Amino acid sequence: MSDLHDALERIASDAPPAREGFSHELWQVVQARKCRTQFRLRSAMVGFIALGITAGGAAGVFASGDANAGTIVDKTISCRLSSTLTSASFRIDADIKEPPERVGGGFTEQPGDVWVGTDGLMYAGASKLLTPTVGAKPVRSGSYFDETVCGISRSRIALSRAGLPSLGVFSDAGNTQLSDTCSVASNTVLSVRLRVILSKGGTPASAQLAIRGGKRPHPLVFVTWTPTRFTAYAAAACVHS
Amino acid sequence: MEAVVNDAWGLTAGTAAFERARALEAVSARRRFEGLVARHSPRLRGVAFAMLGAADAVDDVLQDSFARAYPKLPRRFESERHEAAWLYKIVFRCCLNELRRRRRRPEVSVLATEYLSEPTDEPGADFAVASVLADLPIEQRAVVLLVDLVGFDYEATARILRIPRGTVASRLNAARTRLRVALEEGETDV
Repeated sequence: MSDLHDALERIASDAPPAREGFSHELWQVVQARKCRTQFRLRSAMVGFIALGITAGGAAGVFASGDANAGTIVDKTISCRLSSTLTSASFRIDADIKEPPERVGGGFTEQPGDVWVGTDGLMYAGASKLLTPTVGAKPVRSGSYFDETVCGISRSRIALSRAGLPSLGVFSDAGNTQLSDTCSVASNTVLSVRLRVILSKGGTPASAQLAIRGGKRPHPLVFVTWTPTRFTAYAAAACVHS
Repeated sequence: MEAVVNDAWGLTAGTAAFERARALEAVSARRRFEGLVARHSPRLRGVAFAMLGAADAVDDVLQDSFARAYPKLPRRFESERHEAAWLYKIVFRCCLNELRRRRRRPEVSVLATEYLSEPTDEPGADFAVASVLADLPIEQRAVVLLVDLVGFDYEATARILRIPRGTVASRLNAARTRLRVALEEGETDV
Protein backbone atom coordinates (compact mmCIF):
# COMPACT_ATOMS: atom_id res chain seq x y z
CA MET A 1 0.00 0.00 0.00
CA SER A 2 2.94 2.31 0.59
CA ASP A 3 3.83 2.07 -3.13
CA LEU A 4 0.42 3.44 -3.94
CA HIS A 5 0.82 6.14 -1.29
CA ASP A 6 4.20 7.10 -2.77
CA ALA A 7 2.81 7.27 -6.29
CA LEU A 8 -0.06 9.47 -5.11
CA GLU A 9 2.41 11.66 -3.20
CA ARG A 10 4.46 12.16 -6.35
CA ILE A 11 1.35 13.15 -8.30
CA ALA A 12 0.32 15.60 -5.57
CA SER A 13 3.80 17.10 -5.40
CA ASP A 14 3.41 18.30 -9.00
CA ALA A 15 0.78 20.79 -7.86
CA PRO A 16 1.43 24.31 -9.12
CA PRO A 17 2.48 27.08 -6.72
CA ALA A 18 -0.13 29.67 -5.72
CA ARG A 19 -0.66 32.37 -8.29
CA GLU A 20 0.62 35.87 -7.60
CA GLY A 21 -1.60 37.83 -5.21
CA PHE A 22 -3.52 34.73 -4.13
CA SER A 23 -3.80 35.77 -0.46
CA HIS A 24 -4.71 39.37 -1.20
CA GLU A 25 -7.36 38.20 -3.63
CA LEU A 26 -8.68 35.71 -1.09
CA TRP A 27 -9.44 38.47 1.43
CA GLN A 28 -11.17 40.49 -1.25
CA VAL A 29 -13.36 37.50 -2.06
CA VAL A 30 -14.07 36.99 1.66
CA GLN A 31 -15.04 40.65 2.01
CA ALA A 32 -17.20 40.50 -1.11
CA ARG A 33 -19.02 37.42 0.19
CA LYS A 34 -19.55 39.09 3.57
CA CYS A 35 -21.04 42.18 1.95
CA ARG A 36 -23.30 40.06 -0.22
CA THR A 37 -24.53 38.03 2.73
CA GLN A 38 -25.19 41.17 4.76
CA PHE A 39 -27.03 42.75 1.86
CA ARG A 40 -29.21 39.66 1.41
CA LEU A 41 -29.95 39.45 5.11
CA ARG A 42 -30.78 43.14 5.30
CA SER A 43 -32.97 42.93 2.22
CA ALA A 44 -34.76 39.89 3.56
CA MET A 45 -35.35 41.50 6.97
CA VAL A 46 -36.54 44.78 5.55
CA GLY A 47 -38.62 42.90 3.04
CA PHE A 48 -40.34 40.85 5.71
CA ILE A 49 -41.07 43.94 7.78
CA ALA A 50 -42.36 45.80 4.78
CA LEU A 51 -44.43 42.82 3.76
CA GLY A 52 -46.01 42.86 7.18
CA ILE A 53 -47.01 46.49 6.79
CA THR A 54 -48.08 46.50 3.21
CA ALA A 55 -47.47 44.23 0.29
CA GLY A 56 -47.16 47.15 -2.06
CA GLY A 57 -44.45 48.88 -0.03
CA ALA A 58 -42.15 45.89 -0.08
CA ALA A 59 -41.09 46.31 -3.68
CA GLY A 60 -39.95 49.86 -3.07
CA VAL A 61 -37.84 48.82 -0.08
CA PHE A 62 -36.09 46.06 -2.06
CA ALA A 63 -35.34 48.49 -4.84
CA SER A 64 -33.67 50.94 -2.49
CA GLY A 65 -30.68 48.66 -1.67
CA ASP A 66 -27.39 48.50 -3.53
CA ALA A 67 -27.72 45.37 -5.58
CA ASN A 68 -24.07 45.44 -6.63
CA ALA A 69 -22.58 45.51 -3.13
CA GLY A 70 -19.99 42.78 -2.73
CA THR A 71 -20.82 41.03 -5.95
CA ILE A 72 -18.39 38.97 -7.95
CA VAL A 73 -19.04 39.25 -11.66
CA ASP A 74 -17.56 36.31 -13.50
CA LYS A 75 -18.34 35.82 -17.15
CA THR A 76 -16.76 34.23 -20.17
CA ILE A 77 -17.57 35.39 -23.66
CA SER A 78 -16.45 33.95 -26.94
CA CYS A 79 -16.19 35.53 -30.36
CA ARG A 80 -15.00 34.37 -33.74
CA LEU A 81 -12.45 36.85 -35.05
CA SER A 82 -13.37 37.10 -38.69
CA SER A 83 -11.20 38.80 -41.23
CA THR A 84 -10.76 38.63 -44.96
CA LEU A 85 -7.03 38.67 -44.35
CA THR A 86 -5.10 35.64 -43.15
CA SER A 87 -4.80 37.07 -39.67
CA ALA A 88 -7.10 38.89 -37.28
CA SER A 89 -6.24 40.88 -34.20
CA PHE A 90 -7.53 42.08 -30.90
CA ARG A 91 -6.38 44.73 -28.49
CA ILE A 92 -5.74 44.56 -24.82
CA ASP A 93 -5.60 47.83 -22.94
CA ALA A 94 -5.09 48.51 -19.25
CA ASP A 95 -4.46 51.64 -17.22
CA ILE A 96 -4.09 52.45 -13.59
CA LYS A 97 -5.93 55.24 -11.85
CA GLU A 98 -4.14 58.55 -12.20
CA PRO A 99 -4.58 61.81 -10.31
CA PRO A 100 -7.07 64.28 -11.83
CA GLU A 101 -5.57 66.68 -14.37
CA ARG A 102 -6.66 70.24 -14.87
CA VAL A 103 -8.01 70.62 -18.39
CA GLY A 104 -9.44 74.04 -19.28
CA GLY A 105 -11.69 75.11 -16.44
CA GLY A 106 -12.23 71.68 -14.89
CA PHE A 107 -10.57 68.45 -13.97
CA THR A 108 -10.53 65.23 -15.93
CA GLU A 109 -9.99 61.99 -14.14
CA GLN A 110 -8.38 58.85 -15.47
CA PRO A 111 -10.09 56.17 -13.37
CA GLY A 112 -8.05 53.30 -14.79
CA ASP A 113 -9.50 50.38 -16.63
CA VAL A 114 -8.80 47.09 -18.32
CA TRP A 115 -10.51 46.05 -21.50
CA VAL A 116 -10.13 43.89 -24.55
CA GLY A 117 -11.59 44.57 -27.93
CA THR A 118 -11.04 44.10 -31.60
CA ASP A 119 -10.54 47.13 -33.72
CA GLY A 120 -11.95 46.45 -37.15
CA LEU A 121 -10.46 49.66 -38.49
CA MET A 122 -6.95 48.42 -37.96
CA TYR A 123 -7.22 45.89 -40.73
CA ALA A 124 -8.92 46.69 -44.00
CA GLY A 125 -11.69 44.26 -44.73
CA ALA A 126 -12.25 43.05 -41.20
CA SER A 127 -15.88 42.16 -41.02
CA LYS A 128 -16.58 42.90 -37.41
CA LEU A 129 -16.08 45.86 -35.18
CA LEU A 130 -16.20 44.99 -31.53
CA THR A 131 -14.75 47.81 -29.49
CA PRO A 132 -14.69 47.23 -26.62
CA THR A 133 -16.03 43.79 -25.94
CA VAL A 134 -15.28 43.26 -22.33
CA GLY A 135 -13.76 45.34 -19.58
CA ALA A 136 -13.76 46.76 -16.10
CA LYS A 137 -13.55 50.34 -14.90
CA PRO A 138 -13.44 51.57 -11.32
CA VAL A 139 -16.72 53.39 -11.61
CA ARG A 140 -20.09 52.31 -10.30
CA SER A 141 -21.24 49.15 -12.12
CA GLY A 142 -18.05 49.51 -14.12
CA SER A 143 -17.88 46.07 -15.65
CA TYR A 144 -19.33 45.63 -19.06
CA PHE A 145 -19.74 42.83 -21.54
CA ASP A 146 -20.83 43.48 -25.07
CA GLU A 147 -23.14 40.60 -25.70
CA THR A 148 -24.41 41.87 -29.03
CA VAL A 149 -21.55 40.41 -31.05
CA CYS A 150 -19.81 38.03 -28.67
CA GLY A 151 -21.84 35.33 -27.03
CA ILE A 152 -21.78 34.58 -23.34
CA SER A 153 -20.14 31.20 -23.05
CA ARG A 154 -21.30 28.68 -20.50
CA SER A 155 -17.86 27.10 -20.45
CA ARG A 156 -15.15 28.81 -18.50
CA ILE A 157 -11.49 29.26 -19.22
CA ALA A 158 -8.97 29.17 -16.41
CA LEU A 159 -7.85 32.39 -14.77
CA SER A 160 -4.17 31.66 -14.77
CA ARG A 161 -0.96 32.79 -16.33
CA ALA A 162 -0.44 29.31 -17.77
CA GLY A 163 3.22 29.83 -18.64
CA LEU A 164 2.83 33.17 -20.44
CA PRO A 165 5.84 35.49 -20.21
CA SER A 166 5.42 38.51 -17.96
CA LEU A 167 5.11 42.00 -19.41
CA GLY A 168 5.83 43.45 -15.99
CA VAL A 169 4.09 45.15 -13.13
CA PHE A 170 2.33 48.39 -13.97
CA SER A 171 2.00 50.80 -11.06
CA ASP A 172 2.52 54.47 -10.40
CA ALA A 173 6.27 54.14 -10.83
CA GLY A 174 6.24 55.43 -14.39
CA ASN A 175 4.88 52.32 -16.02
CA THR A 176 1.13 52.93 -15.98
CA GLN A 177 -0.33 51.82 -19.28
CA LEU A 178 -0.53 48.66 -21.34
CA SER A 179 -1.67 48.79 -24.93
CA ASP A 180 -0.90 45.70 -26.98
CA THR A 181 -2.21 44.27 -30.21
CA CYS A 182 -2.28 40.51 -30.52
CA SER A 183 -2.41 38.78 -33.88
CA VAL A 184 -4.12 35.45 -34.32
CA ALA A 185 -5.17 33.40 -37.32
CA SER A 186 -8.36 34.52 -39.00
CA ASN A 187 -11.51 32.81 -37.78
CA THR A 188 -9.91 32.05 -34.43
CA VAL A 189 -12.45 31.59 -31.69
CA LEU A 190 -11.43 33.85 -28.85
CA SER A 191 -12.56 33.11 -25.30
CA VAL A 192 -12.37 35.98 -22.84
CA ARG A 193 -13.07 35.54 -19.14
CA LEU A 194 -13.40 38.54 -16.86
CA ARG A 195 -13.81 38.17 -13.12
CA VAL A 196 -14.47 41.40 -11.28
CA ILE A 197 -14.79 41.79 -7.53
CA LEU A 198 -16.99 44.78 -6.80
CA SER A 199 -16.39 46.75 -3.65
CA LYS A 200 -19.08 47.80 -1.20
CA GLY A 201 -19.98 50.82 -3.34
CA GLY A 202 -20.36 48.63 -6.41
CA THR A 203 -17.13 49.75 -8.08
CA PRO A 204 -14.59 47.18 -9.26
CA ALA A 205 -11.93 46.64 -6.59
CA SER A 206 -9.99 44.14 -8.66
CA ALA A 207 -10.32 42.19 -11.86
CA GLN A 208 -8.69 39.28 -13.60
CA LEU A 209 -8.87 38.87 -17.31
CA ALA A 210 -7.79 35.82 -19.29
CA ILE A 211 -7.88 35.34 -23.03
CA ARG A 212 -7.44 32.08 -24.85
CA GLY A 213 -7.76 31.35 -28.52
CA GLY A 214 -7.87 28.49 -30.97
CA LYS A 215 -9.62 25.17 -31.29
CA ARG A 216 -7.66 23.74 -28.40
CA PRO A 217 -7.53 27.08 -26.62
CA HIS A 218 -4.03 28.19 -25.80
CA PRO A 219 -3.33 31.08 -23.45
CA LEU A 220 -2.79 34.50 -25.06
CA VAL A 221 -3.18 37.09 -22.33
CA PHE A 222 -3.64 37.20 -18.57
CA VAL A 223 -4.01 40.38 -16.52
CA THR A 224 -4.55 40.80 -12.80
CA TRP A 225 -5.75 44.34 -12.27
CA THR A 226 -6.55 46.76 -9.47
CA PRO A 227 -7.14 50.50 -9.94
CA THR A 228 -3.64 51.24 -8.67
CA ARG A 229 -1.58 48.31 -9.89
CA PHE A 230 -1.76 45.54 -12.45
CA THR A 231 0.38 42.72 -13.78
CA ALA A 232 0.17 41.53 -17.35
CA TYR A 233 1.30 38.39 -19.12
CA ALA A 234 1.04 37.94 -22.87
CA ALA A 235 2.06 35.55 -25.61
CA ALA A 236 4.68 36.46 -28.21
CA ALA A 237 1.84 37.19 -30.66
CA CYS A 238 1.13 40.39 -28.72
CA VAL A 239 3.16 43.50 -29.52
CA HIS A 240 3.04 47.02 -28.15
CA SER A 241 0.77 49.24 -30.22
CA MET B 1 -18.75 62.68 26.80
CA GLU B 2 -22.19 64.18 26.88
CA ALA B 3 -23.59 61.05 25.34
CA VAL B 4 -22.13 58.96 28.18
CA VAL B 5 -23.52 61.29 30.84
CA ASN B 6 -26.96 61.29 29.27
CA ASP B 7 -26.92 57.56 28.88
CA ALA B 8 -28.36 56.45 32.21
CA TRP B 9 -27.96 52.75 31.38
CA GLY B 10 -24.36 53.11 30.20
CA LEU B 11 -25.32 51.73 26.83
CA THR B 12 -23.15 54.12 24.83
CA ALA B 13 -19.98 53.08 26.61
CA GLY B 14 -21.14 49.47 26.46
CA THR B 15 -21.70 49.66 22.73
CA ALA B 16 -18.25 51.13 22.14
CA ALA B 17 -16.64 48.37 24.20
CA PHE B 18 -18.70 45.77 22.38
CA GLU B 19 -17.62 47.19 19.02
CA ARG B 20 -13.98 47.17 20.16
CA ALA B 21 -14.31 43.57 21.29
CA ARG B 22 -15.88 42.62 17.98
CA ALA B 23 -13.10 44.34 16.05
CA LEU B 24 -10.47 42.49 18.10
CA GLU B 25 -12.33 39.25 17.59
CA ALA B 26 -12.40 39.82 13.83
CA VAL B 27 -8.65 40.50 13.77
CA SER B 28 -7.89 37.44 15.82
CA ALA B 29 -10.22 35.31 13.69
CA ARG B 30 -8.41 36.49 10.62
CA ARG B 31 -5.02 35.73 12.19
CA ARG B 32 -6.18 32.29 13.27
CA PHE B 33 -7.51 31.60 9.80
CA GLU B 34 -4.31 32.79 8.15
CA GLY B 35 -2.36 30.43 10.39
CA LEU B 36 -4.71 27.59 9.55
CA VAL B 37 -4.36 28.23 5.82
CA ALA B 38 -0.58 28.53 6.09
CA ARG B 39 -0.41 25.19 7.92
CA HIS B 40 -2.62 23.23 5.56
CA SER B 41 -2.33 25.05 2.26
CA PRO B 42 0.67 23.22 0.74
CA ARG B 43 -0.87 19.81 1.45
CA LEU B 44 -4.35 20.90 0.36
CA ARG B 45 -2.91 22.25 -2.87
CA GLY B 46 -1.42 18.87 -3.73
CA VAL B 47 -4.57 16.98 -2.81
CA ALA B 48 -6.80 19.38 -4.75
CA PHE B 49 -4.50 19.02 -7.75
CA ALA B 50 -4.68 15.23 -7.59
CA MET B 51 -8.45 15.42 -7.16
CA LEU B 52 -9.07 17.91 -9.98
CA GLY B 53 -6.40 16.68 -12.37
CA ALA B 54 -5.89 20.24 -13.56
CA ALA B 55 -3.33 22.77 -12.41
CA ASP B 56 -5.36 25.73 -13.65
CA ALA B 57 -8.37 25.06 -11.46
CA VAL B 58 -6.50 24.57 -8.17
CA ASP B 59 -6.24 28.25 -7.22
CA ASP B 60 -9.89 28.98 -7.98
CA VAL B 61 -11.14 25.99 -6.01
CA LEU B 62 -8.88 26.66 -3.02
CA GLN B 63 -9.87 30.31 -2.97
CA ASP B 64 -13.54 29.38 -3.09
CA SER B 65 -13.02 26.83 -0.30
CA PHE B 66 -11.18 29.24 1.98
CA ALA B 67 -13.73 31.99 1.35
CA ARG B 68 -16.49 29.56 2.36
CA ALA B 69 -14.55 28.31 5.35
CA TYR B 70 -13.63 31.66 6.91
CA PRO B 71 -17.10 32.78 8.06
CA LYS B 72 -17.70 29.34 9.57
CA LEU B 73 -14.39 29.13 11.45
CA PRO B 74 -15.15 27.52 14.83
CA ARG B 75 -13.88 29.24 17.97
CA ARG B 76 -11.65 26.28 18.69
CA PHE B 77 -10.89 22.80 17.46
CA GLU B 78 -10.71 19.70 19.62
CA SER B 79 -7.50 18.56 17.98
CA GLU B 80 -5.31 19.10 14.99
CA ARG B 81 -7.03 16.17 13.32
CA HIS B 82 -10.41 17.80 13.88
CA GLU B 83 -9.09 21.02 12.36
CA ALA B 84 -7.73 19.19 9.31
CA ALA B 85 -10.95 17.21 8.84
CA TRP B 86 -13.01 20.42 8.98
CA LEU B 87 -10.88 22.10 6.30
CA TYR B 88 -10.59 19.02 4.06
CA LYS B 89 -14.34 18.60 4.20
CA ILE B 90 -14.87 22.06 2.72
CA VAL B 91 -12.12 21.70 0.13
CA PHE B 92 -13.39 18.31 -1.01
CA ARG B 93 -16.97 19.60 -1.29
CA CYS B 94 -15.67 22.41 -3.50
CA CYS B 95 -13.58 19.98 -5.59
CA LEU B 96 -16.59 17.72 -6.08
CA ASN B 97 -18.76 20.70 -7.02
CA GLU B 98 -16.17 21.85 -9.54
CA LEU B 99 -15.83 18.37 -11.06
CA ARG B 100 -19.60 17.96 -11.29
CA ARG B 101 -19.92 21.42 -12.83
CA ARG B 102 -17.26 20.49 -15.36
CA ARG B 103 -19.03 17.23 -16.15
CA ARG B 104 -22.21 19.18 -16.92
CA ARG B 105 -20.39 21.87 -18.85
CA PRO B 106 -17.07 20.63 -20.23
CA GLU B 107 -14.19 23.09 -20.04
CA VAL B 108 -13.06 24.97 -23.09
CA SER B 109 -9.46 24.88 -21.99
CA VAL B 110 -7.10 21.97 -21.99
CA LEU B 111 -7.59 21.28 -18.32
CA ALA B 112 -8.29 17.60 -18.31
CA THR B 113 -5.75 15.38 -16.63
CA GLU B 114 -2.87 17.79 -16.82
CA TYR B 115 -0.70 15.62 -14.65
CA LEU B 116 -0.59 13.07 -17.42
CA SER B 117 1.41 15.34 -19.68
CA GLU B 118 4.56 15.48 -17.60
CA PRO B 119 5.79 12.11 -16.38
CA THR B 120 8.06 12.21 -13.35
CA ASP B 121 11.14 10.15 -12.36
CA GLU B 122 9.26 6.89 -12.66
CA PRO B 123 7.29 7.53 -15.79
CA GLY B 124 5.87 4.05 -16.17
CA ALA B 125 4.26 3.53 -12.78
CA ASP B 126 3.31 7.14 -12.09
CA PHE B 127 1.88 7.67 -15.53
CA ALA B 128 -0.22 4.55 -15.20
CA VAL B 129 -1.45 5.51 -11.73
CA ALA B 130 -2.20 9.06 -12.85
CA SER B 131 -4.18 7.92 -15.85
CA VAL B 132 -6.21 5.44 -13.79
CA LEU B 133 -6.75 8.09 -11.10
CA ALA B 134 -8.08 10.47 -13.74
CA ASP B 135 -10.39 7.75 -15.05
CA LEU B 136 -11.81 6.86 -11.63
CA PRO B 137 -15.31 8.06 -10.81
CA ILE B 138 -14.93 11.25 -8.78
CA GLU B 139 -16.47 9.68 -5.67
CA GLN B 140 -13.90 6.85 -5.71
CA ARG B 141 -11.09 9.30 -6.39
CA ALA B 142 -12.10 11.35 -3.36
CA VAL B 143 -12.11 8.30 -1.10
CA VAL B 144 -8.75 6.94 -2.24
CA LEU B 145 -7.08 10.35 -1.90
CA LEU B 146 -8.46 10.94 1.57
CA VAL B 147 -7.47 7.51 2.85
CA ASP B 148 -4.33 6.60 0.92
CA LEU B 149 -2.83 10.03 0.35
CA VAL B 150 -3.95 12.18 3.28
CA GLY B 151 -4.20 9.31 5.76
CA PHE B 152 -7.71 9.75 7.20
CA ASP B 153 -9.38 6.65 8.61
CA TYR B 154 -12.68 5.29 7.32
CA GLU B 155 -14.76 7.09 9.95
CA ALA B 156 -13.23 10.48 9.25
CA THR B 157 -13.51 9.96 5.49
CA ALA B 158 -17.15 8.99 5.86
CA ARG B 159 -17.82 12.16 7.85
CA ILE B 160 -15.93 14.36 5.37
CA LEU B 161 -17.77 12.98 2.36
CA ARG B 162 -21.07 12.51 4.22
CA ILE B 163 -21.42 8.89 3.17
CA PRO B 164 -21.78 5.67 5.22
CA ARG B 165 -18.63 3.90 6.39
CA GLY B 166 -19.51 0.84 4.28
CA THR B 167 -19.66 2.97 1.16
CA VAL B 168 -16.17 4.30 1.94
CA ALA B 169 -14.90 0.73 2.20
CA SER B 170 -16.47 -0.42 -1.04
CA ARG B 171 -15.37 2.63 -3.02
CA LEU B 172 -11.87 2.36 -1.62
CA ASN B 173 -11.67 -1.31 -2.52
CA ALA B 174 -12.79 -0.64 -6.09
CA ALA B 175 -10.36 2.25 -6.49
CA ARG B 176 -7.41 0.42 -4.93
CA THR B 177 -7.94 -2.62 -7.11
CA ARG B 178 -7.71 -0.56 -10.28
CA LEU B 179 -4.79 1.53 -9.03
CA ARG B 180 -2.83 -1.52 -7.85
CA VAL B 181 -3.19 -3.18 -11.25
CA ALA B 182 -2.00 0.03 -12.91
CA LEU B 183 0.94 0.29 -10.52
CA GLU B 184 2.03 -3.31 -11.11
CA GLU B 185 1.64 -3.01 -14.86
CA GLY B 186 3.57 0.26 -14.84
CA GLU B 187 6.40 -1.27 -12.84
CA THR B 188 6.71 -4.28 -15.11
CA ASP B 189 6.79 -1.96 -18.16
CA VAL B 190 9.73 -0.08 -16.62
